[in-house]
Amino acid sequence: MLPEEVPMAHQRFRPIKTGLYDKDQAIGRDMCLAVRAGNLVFLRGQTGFTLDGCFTGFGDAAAQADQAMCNVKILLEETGARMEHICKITTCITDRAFHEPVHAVIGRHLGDIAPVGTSLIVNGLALPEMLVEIGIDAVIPA
Amino acid sequence: MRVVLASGGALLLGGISSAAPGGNTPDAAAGQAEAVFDALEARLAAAGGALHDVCKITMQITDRAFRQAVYAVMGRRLLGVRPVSTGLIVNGLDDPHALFQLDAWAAPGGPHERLRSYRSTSVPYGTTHQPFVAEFCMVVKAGRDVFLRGQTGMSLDGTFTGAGDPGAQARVAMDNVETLLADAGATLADAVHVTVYVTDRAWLSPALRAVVPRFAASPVPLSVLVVKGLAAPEILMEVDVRAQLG
Repeated sequence: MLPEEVPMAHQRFRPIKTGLYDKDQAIGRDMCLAVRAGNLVFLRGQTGFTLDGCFTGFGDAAAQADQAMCNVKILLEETGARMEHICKITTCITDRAFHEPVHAVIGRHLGDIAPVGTSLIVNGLALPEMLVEIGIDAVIPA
Repeated sequence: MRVVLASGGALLLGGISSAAPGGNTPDAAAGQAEAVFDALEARLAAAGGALHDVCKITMQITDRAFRQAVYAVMGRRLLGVRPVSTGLIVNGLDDPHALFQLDAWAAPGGPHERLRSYRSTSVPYGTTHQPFVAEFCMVVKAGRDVFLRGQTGMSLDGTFTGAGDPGAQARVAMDNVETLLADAGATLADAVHVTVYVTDRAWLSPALRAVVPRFAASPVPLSVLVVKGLAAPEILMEVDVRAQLG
């Protein structure tokens, strides 16, 4: 997939309507799922939403984490990065009980890749059914 | 997981905590903070960096009762560094016994350009002053990297507006973001990621309605977190913007 043709320095991938995540008050303005600024790659925090906007893994944090990590791989590759370019992974969960299953899934996707990691247990994510959100910072080696 | 990674020159330090025994008290949190900043210094040094390379910190505590104690430690340990900061109160951290966790972004070649420096004692947090002493700034420019302090309903002259109104707070926060980016020679078109924190899910729609349209011309990835609290109880939302000069 080619980046959006926009006349600006940073490449922006997959514009979306945030109303998708905000059912009651559709905003109808675009955000996007990934930005590449030089060799830095920033992603929207990934959840159980597929990149097509279907929510998967109701009540199943591990399944949501698996979907999120599948999304991460696709988005990184679209920006020209690879999974091994992940530098930092920020994991937000809504209940400590999800810590083990979520980190097991993330570990399976990361394999030998050893990024910086930070984990938070938060009161909530963008929608109540979201149990986990995975934030990614990646740097493509020069 | 590793705690320091050098890549493309930048140093990312994440999830540093130290759950020393001592219970669930401000004193215990302060003790943990000392160990966390020991670890920060050691890990920066091991990666060839120094404290003055630190651009941004995100301070995560599990109870507002720990804030003064933990921030007093931070103020002393980072004296003269003047990072930009975002402070969160969350339900829990990676280590179930941790009361404090730190993320930091550093760039070699410091000290970096730090704009609108301030001392914590000279500005209010929300409507009240807080006793801890620390030095911060509003913008760090490290090469092409631009880091902003997490912005709230506090205007840049220190006036808090929008009590009880997350949308009004978000409008002030985004006005600040635009001003601070301009200070660094950047615009919203240089933004690369946005995180919106709210203290209640009900604040999400009003906050996003004030934040998202600002990015209509140059969309960015948005992450949203509902947290237990921010720097003061009356602060209902905070927006964190990362930018990269083209």
